[in-house]
Amino acid sequence: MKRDGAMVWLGNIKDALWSTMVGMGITFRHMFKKPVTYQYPEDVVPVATRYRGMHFLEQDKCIACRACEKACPVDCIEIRFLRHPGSVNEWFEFSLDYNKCMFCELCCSPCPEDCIHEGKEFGFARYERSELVVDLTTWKGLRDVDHQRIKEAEEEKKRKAAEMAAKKKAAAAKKAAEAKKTAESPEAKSGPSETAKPASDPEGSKPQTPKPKIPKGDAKGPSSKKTAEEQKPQGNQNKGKGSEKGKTKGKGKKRGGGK
Amino acid sequence: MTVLAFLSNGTVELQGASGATGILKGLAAYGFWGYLLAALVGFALLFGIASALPILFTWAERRVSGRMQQRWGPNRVGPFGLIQALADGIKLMFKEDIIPAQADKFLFMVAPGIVLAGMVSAFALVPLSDSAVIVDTSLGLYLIAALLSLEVIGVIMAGWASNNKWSLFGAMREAAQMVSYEIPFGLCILLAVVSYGSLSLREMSLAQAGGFLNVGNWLIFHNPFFALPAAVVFFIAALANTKRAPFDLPEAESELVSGFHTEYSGFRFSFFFLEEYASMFVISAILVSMFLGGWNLPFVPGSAVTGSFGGELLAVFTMLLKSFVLVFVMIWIRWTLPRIRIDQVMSLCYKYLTPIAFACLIGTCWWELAA
Repeated sequence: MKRDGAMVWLGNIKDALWSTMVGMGITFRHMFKKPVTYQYPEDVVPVATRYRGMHFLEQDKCIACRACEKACPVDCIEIRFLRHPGSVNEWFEFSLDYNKCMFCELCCSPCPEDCIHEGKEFGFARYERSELVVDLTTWKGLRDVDHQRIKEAEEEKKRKAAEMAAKKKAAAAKKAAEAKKTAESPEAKSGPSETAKPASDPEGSKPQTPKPKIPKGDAKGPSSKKTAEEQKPQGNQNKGKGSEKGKTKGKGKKRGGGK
Repeated sequence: MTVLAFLSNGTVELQGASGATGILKGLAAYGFWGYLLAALVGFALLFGIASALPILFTWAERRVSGRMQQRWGPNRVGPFGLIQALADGIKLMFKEDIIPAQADKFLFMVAPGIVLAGMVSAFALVPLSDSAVIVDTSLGLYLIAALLSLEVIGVIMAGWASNNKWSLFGAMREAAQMVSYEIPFGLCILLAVVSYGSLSLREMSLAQAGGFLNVGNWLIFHNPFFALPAAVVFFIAALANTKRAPFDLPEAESELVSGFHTEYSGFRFSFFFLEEYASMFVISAILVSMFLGGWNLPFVPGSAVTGSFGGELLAVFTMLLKSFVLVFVMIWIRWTLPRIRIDQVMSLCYKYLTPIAFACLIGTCWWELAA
């Protein structure tokens, strides 16, 4: 509708009042809506499940293989540890330098134990650069469990050594006895040496469960990868909680085999 | 400041026989020194109120604006962030008071004082109830209009003395805005004066008691065709008077970097800040006294002051409540409307508000003669 003269004037007043009222209605309605802001320190914005934030380490799973350290393109991971008998690691440091880290997540994929992850922590504000070198270890040195395990491993080693010595002695005695008698076969010679080998293995303290698994996985792997992967968790479940270590060990070895 | 009010009137009437005003009256019996003491006590009281209300209003402003923008607003200092304004006040007091090297030092220092003085003395004239009024003169409204205009001089002084182009622009805008809004502002006051035959805000409130549901004698209901638009015009002019959005041109944070108080910091800045929020209350109280029934509680016939302590308290409560509602509307408008240009302000005031106010004034004269 075209306005002219006084109608323009009145129309302007009407428009002004109307638009003001509409605007005020909008602000009034918004006043009763819930605020959309987050109260940051207490109330953190939820991040995506695949967010790449500060790393976290499942230290009891870690075998200190240094795969992450090697994979890191900017060399920001530093691992220092001491290997004890029984695959026990005495930890000194597992630090990440967030001055360098670019959150590429390349450290997480090569981990055979799946023990290093990028977490959801995104607050990296620090007062000093040195504070950005973060140690991810939850404990240092050796725990009571570790001492126990080392002790067990050493005892096992002693026992194995004693066993082997006894076997050797027996074999020698047998050999001597056989030599005394008459001529001998070559099979008898190689027999004792084969049985002695696993005994000298440092991993001998562990249950023998992974051993039968390796040929199983390797046999199926090349032919059909899917079935092998499906079988893996099943096999783990069947084994149960009894052999935690054997489980992870088997998994890791399988991955290596896959490559 | 109250001395100023006393002098400008000549005849001093200190109201009431109870409460603080009673003490003032008792002191006044001791001649000049009694008057001086009364004035000082009154000033302390006023300054206390004038500083305490802004604390409440800044809190309300920030909370309300927060909720309108779906934020929380201040909620850290005290329950619901109530003490936030106090914390800010302490911060302002301890900040460095900077005076620019090239500034006109005397004017620069005096300007915030003038701004605050005009506002605080206007406070003295606002009746909260029949006896809760520091100065009740027969010139009430006239004096208030004059004291509120004093603030403009302070603003222009501040803008000039800062020796800053932004500040000067702010001051010039304030001057241009002032000559625009003062005309409809004055005409609306005149309308109320014509209706009541008095300049005293206290008498206006008394005259609005009674009627249908105790609201019938409110000016906007008593004279709905002319007083209601006049009340709206007065409210718009009042927004311009308090320099609040959409009329915050002298300040204009986004273009003039706080305009006339760009160069002010610390305690002197807080004077401007206090003035803005306290004048919101003064203007709202004037509007309530003139158009919205003063201290008469709606739907409660006979709630008008009877002289008893309870009645007085109810009156003060009603007056504060009504004023706070208007202050809320001011806040509401600020966070709804964007700032308008200076030419739009002038166009609004000269081409729309002034003719409407004139029409309402003439209509009211006719209405009062016919009634």
